[in-house]
Amino acid sequence: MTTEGAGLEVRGLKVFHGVVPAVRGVDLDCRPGQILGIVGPNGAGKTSLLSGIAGVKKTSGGTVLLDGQDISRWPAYRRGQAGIVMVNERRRVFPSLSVRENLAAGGWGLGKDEVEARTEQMLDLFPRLREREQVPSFRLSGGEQRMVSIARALMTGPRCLLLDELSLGLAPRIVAQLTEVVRQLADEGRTVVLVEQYVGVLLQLADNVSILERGRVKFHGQTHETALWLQEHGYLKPTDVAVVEKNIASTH
Amino acid sequence: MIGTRRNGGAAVAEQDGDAVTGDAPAKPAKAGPTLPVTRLVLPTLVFCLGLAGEFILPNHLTYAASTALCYGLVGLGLYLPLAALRELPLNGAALAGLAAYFFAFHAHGGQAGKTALRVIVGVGLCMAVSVAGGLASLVVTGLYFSVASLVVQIGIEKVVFSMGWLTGGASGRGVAQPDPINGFFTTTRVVFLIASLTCLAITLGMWRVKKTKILANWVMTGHQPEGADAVGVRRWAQKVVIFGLSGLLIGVAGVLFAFVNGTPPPPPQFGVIWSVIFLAIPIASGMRTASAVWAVAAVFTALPIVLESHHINPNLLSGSILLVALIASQSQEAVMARIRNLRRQPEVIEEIALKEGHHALEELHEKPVAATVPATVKGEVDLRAPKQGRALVGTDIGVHFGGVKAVDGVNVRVGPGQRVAIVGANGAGKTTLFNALNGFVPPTTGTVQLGDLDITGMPAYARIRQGLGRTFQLPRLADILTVRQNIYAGQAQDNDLVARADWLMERFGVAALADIPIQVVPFGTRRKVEIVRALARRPEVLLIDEPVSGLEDEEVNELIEVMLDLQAAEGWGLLLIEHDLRFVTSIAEQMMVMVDGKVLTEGSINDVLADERVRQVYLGEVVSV
Repeated sequence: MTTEGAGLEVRGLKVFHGVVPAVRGVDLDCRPGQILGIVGPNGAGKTSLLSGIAGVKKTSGGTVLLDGQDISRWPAYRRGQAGIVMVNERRRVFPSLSVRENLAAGGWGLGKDEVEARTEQMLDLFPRLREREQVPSFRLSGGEQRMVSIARALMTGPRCLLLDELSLGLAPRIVAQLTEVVRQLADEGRTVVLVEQYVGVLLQLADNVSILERGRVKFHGQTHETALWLQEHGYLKPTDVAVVEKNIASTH
Repeated sequence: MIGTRRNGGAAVAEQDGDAVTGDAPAKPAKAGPTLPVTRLVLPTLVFCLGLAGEFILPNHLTYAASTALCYGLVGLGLYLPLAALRELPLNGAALAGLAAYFFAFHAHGGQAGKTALRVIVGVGLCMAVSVAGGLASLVVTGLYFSVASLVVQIGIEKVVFSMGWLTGGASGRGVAQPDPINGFFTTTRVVFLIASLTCLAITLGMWRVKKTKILANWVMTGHQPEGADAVGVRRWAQKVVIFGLSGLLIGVAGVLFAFVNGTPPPPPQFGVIWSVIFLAIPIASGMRTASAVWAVAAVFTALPIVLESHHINPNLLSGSILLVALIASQSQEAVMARIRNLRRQPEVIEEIALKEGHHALEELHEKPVAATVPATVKGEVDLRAPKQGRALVGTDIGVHFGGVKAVDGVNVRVGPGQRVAIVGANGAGKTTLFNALNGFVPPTTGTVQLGDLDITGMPAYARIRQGLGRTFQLPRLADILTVRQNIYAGQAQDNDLVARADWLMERFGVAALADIPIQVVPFGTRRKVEIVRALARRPEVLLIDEPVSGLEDEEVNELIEVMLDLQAAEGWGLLLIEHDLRFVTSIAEQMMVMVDGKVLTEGSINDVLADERVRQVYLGEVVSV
């Protein structure tokens, strides 16, 4: 099913914060249908890494391959057209546009009918947004704006989805729904890279996990290996691990 | 969570105490920026030129240079609102013209002894208009402010400057020039001296301001209005001061304009095109230092005058300069990096990183959070002496946006020592309720009381001063200021509060980051900075909005520990919004669930979580608490 070279492949990526390195040579692999989780302390360079992949931030070295094609020098919009979409941890919505209009903006380039269909899909996904579809976005609460930005990113059905802090500011019920959606997206053959502080959500969702520290990959492994590693290094209690393993068993 | 392991325990805490605090309280040696000598070079040079100009400079050059100085003054006047408040006033030329004409009007044929009065009239008028604009910018901001100031510019230009009796008509109105004293003080030299003295004064003034928290207050006012409210800064007062100073500088320049020519320039010289050129001066200077503003002004004005005799169109030339300067200032960092070839020299990068404090970010993960930081400064002041507490009571609060009832008849009470959590689905009105309690949104119905005091009608900054603390979902911190500046902002010079702020920075583990700009601080850590900022003011009731989103698990645990410890010792009331149930259940005693602007249920944590309705509307299926 997965051919060699398909999906996202990152080699030796470097991203600078001004003159200071934020990402110092990171390798990542994520095949279609897989979810790659990324964790790490604040300031480890997680967001910079995603921004570098999406082309939002200029990279200073290394290559990004999408389905075997080198896109390292492509501008952000072209990567977007190629199917890489990033959901920022901050809420980026068009404040004066309504929910529906924001979603339509996300479907730019699609046919009119398709935009309609997709919008409906998204509104089904987030019933809360359906209730408020005509409300201008600046009137929405923080969590609702976050839903809009996630939904907008999903509008084009991206090949490669970069999610920064999925659960940030969302009610538990919504997070539970979203994890299902992300799983489903991956099962449809998309590549998903997920940055998440909430380890519970991450271990439940991801197939592989990379632990980032100071701009480098400190550990990489499958989810259960990661859980054990985290436990070994004292980040997770044995009880947590049991819960995680149960969750993993139930989802995979 | 994945950080280098924080070992906790007494041994480490002790070690940390040595490393961080030493014997004195954790006050770094750094005491504000020192005055770089280079800053004084330019003003001193100008001053010397003014004295010696008559002998070494040809006449047209002296004239050009004194004009350039006036332009520089206007440029500086516009630099203030631009840099501090992010407002683009497009009426600089009209303000300068007002000062010039009113000065000339009173100076015409009058006695030399009344010069001071004329200057005051001219400059005062200019300041008054500028301050009025500043107050207007409380309501009309950004693009709208620029357009409004443009309207003011054109209005003054068309109405005031067309009055022949004021401007002196086509021939202009002569200004009494001072008699040369022993043949030494000619007009241009006087202009030179006045302008260069002003320049010196500004340089020293800026240096002084950078040492105080005034700068932080200004930047906060312009860049994060709600953040400024949250530290109790009177924004209108800051705007009055900034625009007043701006008017002062432009007014002085206007008077000098009239002075240097012996008559004010004709009205087209104060037209809208000149407003744009004046505004271009600070923008093209890259907005870094005052000296750069002067340098750009000199290039802008002197060069065309000098080159006019060579038949080069001056407008074309200024246009080209502007373009080059804009491009250079836009990509300043990249240009500088390329010049120094930084990317290829890791050691240079390291050096800069060290200087700018980026390494502090790494230290953040190496140093354990101080488990116990002594709560006194040299045994004198108890940094956590509680303030007597009052209860925050919101009665029947409703906030309606158009037809939507975002909050609908909510009663909430947080007494001293109480910890109450508000949870609810996204869009249930939690943050709006906070805003109503805090004064950011006027409630449609209901009252807010702090103890016996009705604070319903109070502006946000006044409520903060009364004893409310507030943090935001998206931290309202000014990007270009450091962590320390953000926390100190609005505190005037209260040493007790500064000591407490330093102590809290230690306590919350952000002390290592104190001197690095907020824009390099990770998102989650900014929340802690905001909590420190709020707590430093000894709030009676603290309102925090989603404090742990973006924090790692281990950081959350630490935050719980520190908050509970502080709260037990100081006894403030806590009202929080949070989705992370682990945090909520560990920290709060009472819980309130909101749905569609109304309170669904409230009570002790366990009772509420056991409620079937809560499970349905908020928690969903997957719950493990």
